[in-house]
Amino acid sequence: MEWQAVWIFLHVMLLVYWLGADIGVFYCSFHIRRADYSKETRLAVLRISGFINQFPLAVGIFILPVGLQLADGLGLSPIRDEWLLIPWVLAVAWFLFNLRVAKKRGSPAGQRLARIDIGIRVALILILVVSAIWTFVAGEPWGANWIALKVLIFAYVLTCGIGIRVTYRNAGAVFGKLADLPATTPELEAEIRRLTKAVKPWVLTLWAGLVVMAAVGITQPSF
Amino acid sequence: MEWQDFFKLLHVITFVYWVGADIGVFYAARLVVNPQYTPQTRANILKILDWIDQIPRYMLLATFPVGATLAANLAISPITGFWLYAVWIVAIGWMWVITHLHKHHGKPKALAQADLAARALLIAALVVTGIMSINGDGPFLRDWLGWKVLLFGCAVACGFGIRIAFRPFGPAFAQLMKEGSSPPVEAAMKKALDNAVPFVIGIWVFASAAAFLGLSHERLFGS
Repeated sequence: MEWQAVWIFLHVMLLVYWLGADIGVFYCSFHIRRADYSKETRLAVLRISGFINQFPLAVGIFILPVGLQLADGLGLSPIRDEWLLIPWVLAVAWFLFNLRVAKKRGSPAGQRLARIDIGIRVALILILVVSAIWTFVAGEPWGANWIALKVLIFAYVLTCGIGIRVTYRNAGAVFGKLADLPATTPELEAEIRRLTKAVKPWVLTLWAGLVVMAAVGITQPSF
Repeated sequence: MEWQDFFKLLHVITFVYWVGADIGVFYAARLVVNPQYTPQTRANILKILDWIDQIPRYMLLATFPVGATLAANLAISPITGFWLYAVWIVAIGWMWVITHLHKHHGKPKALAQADLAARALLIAALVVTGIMSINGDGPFLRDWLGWKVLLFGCAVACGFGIRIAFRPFGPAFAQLMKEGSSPPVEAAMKKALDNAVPFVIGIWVFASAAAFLGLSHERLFGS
Protein backbone atom coordinates (compact mmCIF):
# COMPACT_ATOMS: atom_id res chain seq x y z
CA MET A 1 0.00 0.00 0.00
CA GLU A 2 1.39 3.36 -1.05
CA TRP A 3 0.30 5.39 2.00
CA GLN A 4 1.68 8.69 0.70
CA ALA A 5 -0.73 8.42 -2.26
CA VAL A 6 -3.61 7.94 0.19
CA TRP A 7 -2.60 10.99 2.27
CA ILE A 8 -2.22 13.19 -0.84
CA PHE A 9 -5.68 12.12 -1.98
CA LEU A 10 -7.18 12.74 1.48
CA HIS A 11 -5.49 16.16 1.61
CA VAL A 12 -7.14 17.15 -1.68
CA MET A 13 -10.51 15.66 -0.63
CA LEU A 14 -10.42 17.81 2.50
CA LEU A 15 -9.92 20.85 0.26
CA VAL A 16 -12.92 19.66 -1.79
CA TYR A 17 -15.15 19.64 1.27
CA TRP A 18 -13.78 22.93 2.57
CA LEU A 19 -13.41 25.24 -0.42
CA GLY A 20 -15.86 23.45 -2.71
CA ALA A 21 -18.62 23.05 -0.11
CA ASP A 22 -18.21 26.65 1.12
CA ILE A 23 -19.50 28.11 -2.14
CA GLY A 24 -22.95 26.75 -1.20
CA VAL A 25 -22.83 28.47 2.19
CA PHE A 26 -21.71 31.69 0.51
CA TYR A 27 -24.52 31.63 -2.04
CA CYS A 28 -27.11 30.84 0.65
CA SER A 29 -26.02 33.96 2.55
CA PHE A 30 -27.36 36.13 -0.32
CA HIS A 31 -30.76 34.46 0.03
CA ILE A 32 -30.93 34.52 3.84
CA ARG A 33 -31.07 38.33 3.67
CA ARG A 34 -33.92 38.43 1.15
CA ALA A 35 -36.80 40.04 3.01
CA ASP A 36 -39.15 39.27 0.11
CA TYR A 37 -38.88 35.56 0.94
CA SER A 38 -41.23 34.02 3.47
CA LYS A 39 -39.90 33.18 6.93
CA GLU A 40 -40.23 29.50 6.03
CA THR A 41 -38.04 29.91 2.95
CA ARG A 42 -35.37 31.85 4.84
CA LEU A 43 -35.27 29.26 7.62
CA ALA A 44 -34.99 26.51 4.99
CA VAL A 45 -32.04 28.38 3.42
CA LEU A 46 -30.47 28.66 6.88
CA ARG A 47 -30.95 24.92 7.32
CA ILE A 48 -29.17 24.21 4.00
CA SER A 49 -26.38 26.64 4.87
CA GLY A 50 -25.99 25.11 8.35
CA PHE A 51 -25.78 21.59 6.93
CA ILE A 52 -23.14 22.47 4.31
CA ASN A 53 -21.15 24.51 6.82
CA GLN A 54 -20.51 21.41 8.95
CA PHE A 55 -18.11 20.15 6.27
CA PRO A 56 -15.70 23.12 6.27
CA LEU A 57 -15.82 23.16 10.08
CA ALA A 58 -14.72 19.52 10.33
CA VAL A 59 -12.22 19.75 7.48
CA GLY A 60 -10.52 22.81 9.01
CA ILE A 61 -9.59 20.60 11.96
CA PHE A 62 -8.53 17.40 10.20
CA ILE A 63 -6.51 19.01 7.40
CA LEU A 64 -3.66 19.64 9.88
CA PRO A 65 -2.97 15.99 10.94
CA VAL A 66 -3.35 14.87 7.31
CA GLY A 67 -0.86 17.55 6.25
CA LEU A 68 1.51 16.39 9.00
CA GLN A 69 1.24 12.81 7.70
CA LEU A 70 2.16 14.05 4.22
CA ALA A 71 5.06 16.13 5.51
CA ASP A 72 6.30 13.10 7.49
CA GLY A 73 6.15 10.98 4.30
CA LEU A 74 8.41 13.54 2.63
CA GLY A 75 10.75 13.56 5.65
CA LEU A 76 10.01 17.25 6.27
CA SER A 77 8.07 17.14 9.55
CA PRO A 78 9.46 17.33 13.08
CA ILE A 79 6.54 15.16 14.23
CA ARG A 80 7.36 11.64 13.08
CA ASP A 81 6.16 8.02 13.22
CA GLU A 82 4.21 7.16 16.39
CA TRP A 83 4.42 10.81 17.56
CA LEU A 84 1.87 11.56 14.80
CA LEU A 85 -0.74 9.89 16.99
CA ILE A 86 -0.67 12.99 19.21
CA PRO A 87 -1.97 15.47 16.56
CA TRP A 88 -4.56 12.89 15.50
CA VAL A 89 -5.86 12.43 19.06
CA LEU A 90 -5.87 16.22 19.59
CA ALA A 91 -7.74 16.74 16.29
CA VAL A 92 -10.42 14.18 17.21
CA ALA A 93 -10.78 15.74 20.67
CA TRP A 94 -11.01 19.24 19.18
CA PHE A 95 -13.59 18.04 16.65
CA LEU A 96 -15.73 16.50 19.44
CA PHE A 97 -15.36 19.74 21.40
CA ASN A 98 -16.55 21.69 18.34
CA LEU A 99 -19.62 19.45 18.10
CA ARG A 100 -20.35 20.39 21.72
CA VAL A 101 -19.88 24.10 20.87
CA ALA A 102 -22.35 23.76 17.98
CA LYS A 103 -24.87 21.92 20.18
CA LYS A 104 -24.77 24.57 22.92
CA ARG A 105 -24.77 27.53 20.49
CA GLY A 106 -27.00 30.40 21.63
CA SER A 107 -26.81 29.54 25.36
CA PRO A 108 -24.44 31.15 27.92
CA ALA A 109 -22.60 27.80 28.19
CA GLY A 110 -22.25 27.78 24.40
CA GLN A 111 -20.73 31.26 24.42
CA ARG A 112 -18.19 30.16 27.04
CA LEU A 113 -17.29 27.07 24.98
CA ALA A 114 -16.99 29.21 21.82
CA ARG A 115 -14.53 31.49 23.65
CA ILE A 116 -12.46 28.44 24.69
CA ASP A 117 -12.48 27.27 21.06
CA ILE A 118 -11.20 30.67 19.91
CA GLY A 119 -8.52 30.46 22.61
CA ILE A 120 -7.41 27.07 21.22
CA ARG A 121 -7.28 28.56 17.72
CA VAL A 122 -5.22 31.56 18.85
CA ALA A 123 -2.75 29.23 20.61
CA LEU A 124 -2.50 27.04 17.49
CA ILE A 125 -1.98 30.10 15.26
CA LEU A 126 0.86 31.27 17.52
CA ILE A 127 2.54 27.84 17.40
CA LEU A 128 2.20 27.70 13.61
CA VAL A 129 3.50 31.24 13.03
CA VAL A 130 6.48 30.85 15.39
CA SER A 131 7.42 27.45 13.89
CA ALA A 132 7.18 28.84 10.33
CA ILE A 133 9.23 31.97 11.04
CA TRP A 134 11.80 29.93 12.97
CA THR A 135 12.15 27.64 9.97
CA PHE A 136 12.82 30.64 7.68
CA VAL A 137 15.45 31.87 10.15
CA ALA A 138 17.08 28.71 11.46
CA GLY A 139 16.01 25.93 9.06
CA GLU A 140 13.94 24.02 11.62
CA PRO A 141 11.57 22.54 12.83
CA TRP A 142 10.10 22.18 9.30
CA GLY A 143 12.42 20.49 6.80
CA ALA A 144 11.76 22.91 3.90
CA ASN A 145 10.78 26.56 3.59
CA TRP A 146 7.82 25.75 1.35
CA ILE A 147 6.26 23.61 4.12
CA ALA A 148 6.88 26.47 6.56
CA LEU A 149 5.17 28.81 4.08
CA LYS A 150 2.15 26.47 3.95
CA VAL A 151 2.08 26.42 7.75
CA LEU A 152 2.18 30.23 7.82
CA ILE A 153 -0.67 30.51 5.30
CA PHE A 154 -2.66 27.93 7.27
CA ALA A 155 -2.24 30.16 10.35
CA TYR A 156 -3.62 33.02 8.23
CA VAL A 157 -6.58 30.84 7.17
CA LEU A 158 -7.28 30.01 10.83
CA THR A 159 -7.15 33.75 11.59
CA CYS A 160 -9.78 34.36 8.91
CA GLY A 161 -11.85 31.59 10.58
CA ILE A 162 -11.63 33.50 13.88
CA GLY A 163 -12.68 36.66 12.02
CA ILE A 164 -15.77 34.80 10.76
CA ARG A 165 -16.58 33.53 14.25
CA VAL A 166 -16.20 36.94 15.89
CA THR A 167 -18.27 38.64 13.17
CA TYR A 168 -20.97 35.97 13.41
CA ARG A 169 -20.96 35.72 17.22
CA ASN A 170 -24.50 37.18 17.44
CA ALA A 171 -25.80 35.29 14.41
CA GLY A 172 -27.56 32.68 16.57
CA ALA A 173 -29.55 35.37 18.39
CA VAL A 174 -30.31 37.29 15.16
CA PHE A 175 -31.53 34.27 13.21
CA GLY A 176 -33.32 33.06 16.35
CA LYS A 177 -35.33 36.31 16.23
CA LEU A 178 -36.14 35.65 12.59
CA ALA A 179 -37.55 32.27 13.63
CA ASP A 180 -39.38 33.49 16.75
CA LEU A 181 -40.87 36.83 15.72
CA PRO A 182 -44.27 36.65 14.00
CA ALA A 183 -42.99 39.08 11.33
CA THR A 184 -39.65 40.57 10.48
CA THR A 185 -38.77 44.15 11.43
CA PRO A 186 -36.60 46.78 9.65
CA GLU A 187 -34.10 46.57 12.55
CA LEU A 188 -33.81 42.81 12.19
CA GLU A 189 -33.36 43.08 8.42
CA ALA A 190 -30.65 45.71 8.90
CA GLU A 191 -28.86 43.43 11.37
CA ILE A 192 -29.06 40.42 8.99
CA ARG A 193 -27.71 42.54 6.12
CA ARG A 194 -24.91 43.90 8.32
CA LEU A 195 -23.90 40.41 9.50
CA THR A 196 -23.90 38.76 6.08
CA LYS A 197 -22.00 41.70 4.56
CA ALA A 198 -19.39 41.94 7.33
CA VAL A 199 -18.47 38.25 7.10
CA LYS A 200 -17.76 38.26 3.36
CA PRO A 201 -14.24 39.79 3.37
CA TRP A 202 -13.16 37.11 5.87
CA VAL A 203 -14.64 34.32 3.75
CA LEU A 204 -13.14 35.58 0.47
CA THR A 205 -9.67 36.07 1.95
CA LEU A 206 -9.90 32.62 3.60
CA TRP A 207 -10.63 31.09 0.18
CA ALA A 208 -7.68 32.98 -1.32
CA GLY A 209 -5.49 31.55 1.45
CA LEU A 210 -6.62 28.01 0.68
CA VAL A 211 -5.92 28.43 -3.05
CA VAL A 212 -2.45 29.84 -2.33
CA MET A 213 -1.79 26.90 0.04
CA ALA A 214 -2.74 24.49 -2.75
CA ALA A 215 -0.47 26.39 -5.17
CA VAL A 216 2.46 26.15 -2.73
CA GLY A 217 1.80 22.42 -2.23
CA ILE A 218 1.82 21.87 -6.01
CA THR A 219 4.86 24.00 -6.85
CA GLN A 220 6.89 23.27 -3.68
CA PRO A 221 9.09 26.34 -4.33
CA SER A 222 12.62 26.34 -2.96
CA PHE A 223 13.76 29.63 -1.45
CA MET B 1 4.87 29.55 -11.23
CA GLU B 2 5.35 27.45 -14.37
CA TRP B 3 2.42 26.96 -16.74
CA GLN B 4 2.25 23.24 -16.02
CA ASP B 5 1.91 23.97 -12.28
CA PHE B 6 -0.72 26.58 -13.04
CA PHE B 7 -2.77 24.01 -14.99
CA LYS B 8 -2.25 21.44 -12.20
CA LEU B 9 -3.72 23.97 -9.75
CA LEU B 10 -6.62 24.66 -12.12
CA HIS B 11 -7.22 20.90 -12.46
CA VAL B 12 -7.41 20.57 -8.66
CA ILE B 13 -9.71 23.61 -8.39
CA THR B 14 -12.10 22.26 -11.05
CA PHE B 15 -12.30 18.97 -9.09
CA VAL B 16 -12.78 20.87 -5.79
CA TYR B 17 -15.76 22.83 -7.13
CA TRP B 18 -17.19 19.91 -9.08
CA VAL B 19 -17.50 17.49 -6.16
CA GLY B 20 -17.48 19.97 -3.25
CA ALA B 21 -20.31 22.19 -4.48
CA ASP B 22 -22.43 19.09 -5.13
CA ILE B 23 -22.91 18.44 -1.41
CA GLY B 24 -25.13 21.55 -1.14
CA VAL B 25 -27.17 20.47 -4.15
CA PHE B 26 -27.58 16.98 -2.70
CA TYR B 27 -28.93 18.25 0.63
CA ALA B 28 -31.10 21.05 -0.80
CA ALA B 29 -32.77 18.55 -3.16
CA ARG B 30 -34.04 16.65 -0.09
CA LEU B 31 -35.82 19.80 1.11
CA VAL B 32 -37.44 20.30 -2.30
CA VAL B 33 -39.22 16.93 -1.96
CA ASN B 34 -40.09 17.52 1.71
CA PRO B 35 -43.92 17.91 1.83
CA GLN B 36 -43.68 19.82 5.12
CA TYR B 37 -42.59 22.86 3.11
CA THR B 38 -45.00 24.99 1.08
CA PRO B 39 -44.74 24.79 -2.74
CA GLN B 40 -43.43 28.40 -2.87
CA THR B 41 -40.62 27.65 -0.43
CA ARG B 42 -39.73 24.55 -2.42
CA ALA B 43 -39.70 26.60 -5.63
CA ASN B 44 -37.33 29.11 -4.00
CA ILE B 45 -35.03 26.33 -2.78
CA LEU B 46 -35.09 24.79 -6.25
CA LYS B 47 -33.87 28.09 -7.72
CA ILE B 48 -31.01 28.25 -5.20
CA LEU B 49 -30.17 24.59 -5.81
CA ASP B 50 -30.19 25.14 -9.56
CA TRP B 51 -27.71 28.01 -9.25
CA ILE B 52 -25.31 26.04 -7.02
CA ASP B 53 -25.64 23.09 -9.41
CA GLN B 54 -24.34 25.27 -12.26
CA ILE B 55 -20.89 25.20 -10.62
CA PRO B 56 -20.38 21.41 -10.94
CA ARG B 57 -21.79 21.67 -14.50
CA TYR B 58 -19.17 24.27 -15.45
CA MET B 59 -16.40 22.35 -13.70
CA LEU B 60 -17.21 19.12 -15.52
CA LEU B 61 -16.76 20.96 -18.82
CA ALA B 62 -13.69 22.90 -17.66
CA THR B 63 -11.78 19.93 -16.25
CA PHE B 64 -11.42 18.26 -19.67
CA PRO B 65 -9.52 21.03 -21.54
CA VAL B 66 -7.40 21.65 -18.45
CA GLY B 67 -6.56 17.93 -18.22
CA ALA B 68 -5.94 17.78 -21.99
CA THR B 69 -3.49 20.71 -21.67
CA LEU B 70 -1.65 18.97 -18.83
CA ALA B 71 -1.41 15.74 -20.87
CA ALA B 72 -0.26 17.64 -23.98
CA ASN B 73 2.55 19.27 -21.97
CA LEU B 74 3.62 15.79 -20.82
CA ALA B 75 3.59 14.65 -24.50
CA ILE B 76 1.28 11.72 -23.70
CA SER B 77 -1.83 12.93 -25.54
CA PRO B 78 -2.62 13.21 -29.27
CA ILE B 79 -4.63 16.38 -28.55
CA THR B 80 -2.01 19.04 -29.22
CA GLY B 81 -1.58 22.26 -31.20
CA PHE B 82 -4.67 23.17 -33.22
CA TRP B 83 -6.71 20.35 -31.69
CA LEU B 84 -5.97 21.53 -28.17
CA TYR B 85 -7.17 25.04 -29.06
CA ALA B 86 -10.25 23.42 -30.60
CA VAL B 87 -10.97 21.52 -27.35
CA TRP B 88 -10.76 24.79 -25.40
CA ILE B 89 -13.05 26.62 -27.85
CA VAL B 90 -15.60 23.78 -27.79
CA ALA B 91 -15.52 23.68 -23.97
CA ILE B 92 -16.02 27.45 -23.68
CA GLY B 93 -18.81 27.30 -26.28
CA TRP B 94 -20.42 24.44 -24.37
CA MET B 95 -20.29 26.51 -21.16
CA TRP B 96 -22.12 29.27 -23.01
CA VAL B 97 -24.75 26.70 -24.04
CA ILE B 98 -25.35 25.51 -20.46
CA THR B 99 -25.47 29.15 -19.27
CA HIS B 100 -28.13 29.88 -21.90
CA LEU B 101 -30.11 26.76 -20.97
CA HIS B 102 -29.88 27.66 -17.26
CA LYS B 103 -31.10 31.22 -17.87
CA HIS B 104 -33.98 30.10 -20.09
CA HIS B 105 -35.06 27.09 -18.02
CA GLY B 106 -33.96 24.47 -20.53
CA LYS B 107 -35.21 26.33 -23.60
CA PRO B 108 -34.90 26.14 -26.57
CA LYS B 109 -35.61 22.45 -26.42
CA ALA B 110 -33.48 21.76 -29.52
CA LEU B 111 -30.44 23.20 -27.76
CA ALA B 112 -31.09 21.04 -24.67
CA GLN B 113 -31.38 17.98 -26.92
CA ALA B 114 -28.16 18.92 -28.73
CA ASP B 115 -26.43 19.26 -25.33
CA LEU B 116 -27.62 15.78 -24.35
CA ALA B 117 -26.56 14.29 -27.70
CA ALA B 118 -23.12 15.93 -27.41
CA ARG B 119 -22.74 14.39 -23.96
CA ALA B 120 -23.60 10.94 -25.33
CA LEU B 121 -20.93 11.41 -28.04
CA LEU B 122 -18.39 12.60 -25.48
CA ILE B 123 -19.10 9.59 -23.22
CA ALA B 124 -18.63 7.18 -26.15
CA ALA B 125 -15.38 8.88 -27.20
CA LEU B 126 -13.99 8.89 -23.65
CA VAL B 127 -14.91 5.27 -22.89
CA VAL B 128 -13.60 3.93 -26.23
CA THR B 129 -10.32 5.88 -26.19
CA GLY B 130 -9.86 5.13 -22.48
CA ILE B 131 -10.22 1.36 -22.97
CA MET B 132 -8.03 1.42 -26.09
CA SER B 133 -5.31 3.30 -24.20
CA ILE B 134 -5.44 0.88 -21.25
CA ASN B 135 -4.95 -1.94 -23.77
CA GLY B 136 -1.88 -0.15 -25.11
CA ASP B 137 -3.46 0.77 -28.45
CA GLY B 138 -3.41 4.54 -27.83
CA PRO B 139 -4.35 7.32 -28.44
CA PHE B 140 -3.27 8.20 -24.87
CA LEU B 141 0.25 7.02 -24.17
CA ARG B 142 0.02 6.01 -20.50
CA ASP B 143 -2.12 3.39 -18.74
CA TRP B 144 -3.02 5.78 -15.95
CA LEU B 145 -4.21 8.41 -18.41
CA GLY B 146 -6.34 5.77 -20.16
CA TRP B 147 -7.89 4.93 -16.79
CA LYS B 148 -8.45 8.62 -16.02
CA VAL B 149 -10.18 9.15 -19.37
CA LEU B 150 -12.34 6.05 -18.80
CA LEU B 151 -13.27 7.16 -15.25
CA PHE B 152 -14.08 10.65 -16.50
CA GLY B 153 -16.28 9.07 -19.19
CA CYS B 154 -18.10 7.11 -16.46
CA ALA B 155 -18.58 10.33 -14.43
CA VAL B 156 -20.03 12.12 -17.48
CA ALA B 157 -22.26 9.05 -18.07
CA CYS B 158 -23.55 9.37 -14.50
CA GLY B 159 -24.40 13.03 -15.22
CA PHE B 160 -26.30 11.80 -18.29
CA GLY B 161 -28.05 9.25 -16.04
CA ILE B 162 -29.12 12.00 -13.64
CA ARG B 163 -30.74 13.95 -16.48
CA ILE B 164 -32.70 10.85 -17.58
CA ALA B 165 -33.65 9.73 -14.05
CA PHE B 166 -34.68 13.27 -13.06
CA ARG B 167 -36.90 13.87 -16.11
CA PRO B 168 -40.22 13.02 -14.37
CA PHE B 169 -39.41 15.59 -11.68
CA GLY B 170 -40.14 18.64 -13.90
CA PRO B 171 -43.78 17.78 -14.77
CA ALA B 172 -44.45 16.62 -11.20
CA PHE B 173 -43.05 19.87 -9.78
CA ALA B 174 -45.10 21.92 -12.27
CA GLN B 175 -48.20 20.05 -11.06
CA LEU B 176 -47.24 20.80 -7.44
CA MET B 177 -47.04 24.52 -8.23
CA LYS B 178 -50.34 24.46 -10.12
CA GLU B 179 -52.51 22.19 -8.00
CA GLY B 180 -50.71 21.99 -4.69
CA SER B 181 -49.41 18.96 -2.84
CA SER B 182 -50.96 15.53 -3.29
CA PRO B 183 -49.64 12.03 -2.53
CA PRO B 184 -49.11 11.08 -6.23
CA VAL B 185 -47.23 14.34 -6.97
CA GLU B 186 -45.05 13.97 -3.86
CA ALA B 187 -44.38 10.32 -4.71
CA ALA B 188 -43.42 11.19 -8.31
CA MET B 189 -40.95 13.89 -7.19
CA LYS B 190 -39.41 11.72 -4.49
CA LYS B 191 -39.09 8.77 -6.87
CA ALA B 192 -37.30 10.92 -9.49
CA LEU B 193 -34.88 12.18 -6.85
CA ASP B 194 -34.28 8.71 -5.37
CA ASN B 195 -33.58 7.35 -8.87
CA ALA B 196 -30.98 10.07 -9.44
CA VAL B 197 -29.10 9.43 -6.16
CA PRO B 198 -27.04 6.40 -7.35
CA PHE B 199 -25.85 8.45 -10.34
CA VAL B 200 -24.86 11.37 -8.09
CA ILE B 201 -22.84 9.04 -5.87
CA GLY B 202 -21.40 7.51 -9.04
CA ILE B 203 -20.08 10.93 -10.13
CA TRP B 204 -18.41 11.44 -6.75
CA VAL B 205 -16.80 7.99 -6.85
CA PHE B 206 -15.60 8.15 -10.48
CA ALA B 207 -14.36 11.75 -10.24
CA SER B 208 -12.56 10.98 -6.96
CA ALA B 209 -10.97 7.83 -8.41
CA ALA B 210 -9.76 9.89 -11.41
CA ALA B 211 -8.34 12.49 -8.99
CA PHE B 212 -6.58 9.75 -7.02
CA LEU B 213 -4.88 8.51 -10.20
CA GLY B 214 -3.97 12.02 -11.31
CA LEU B 215 -2.43 12.87 -7.95
CA SER B 216 -0.37 9.70 -7.57
CA HIS B 217 0.27 8.24 -11.03
CA GLU B 218 4.02 8.63 -10.61
CA ARG B 219 3.96 6.66 -7.36
CA LEU B 220 1.48 4.03 -8.56
CA PHE B 221 2.47 3.62 -12.23
CA GLY B 222 6.05 4.86 -12.15
CA SER B 223 5.46 7.53 -14.82
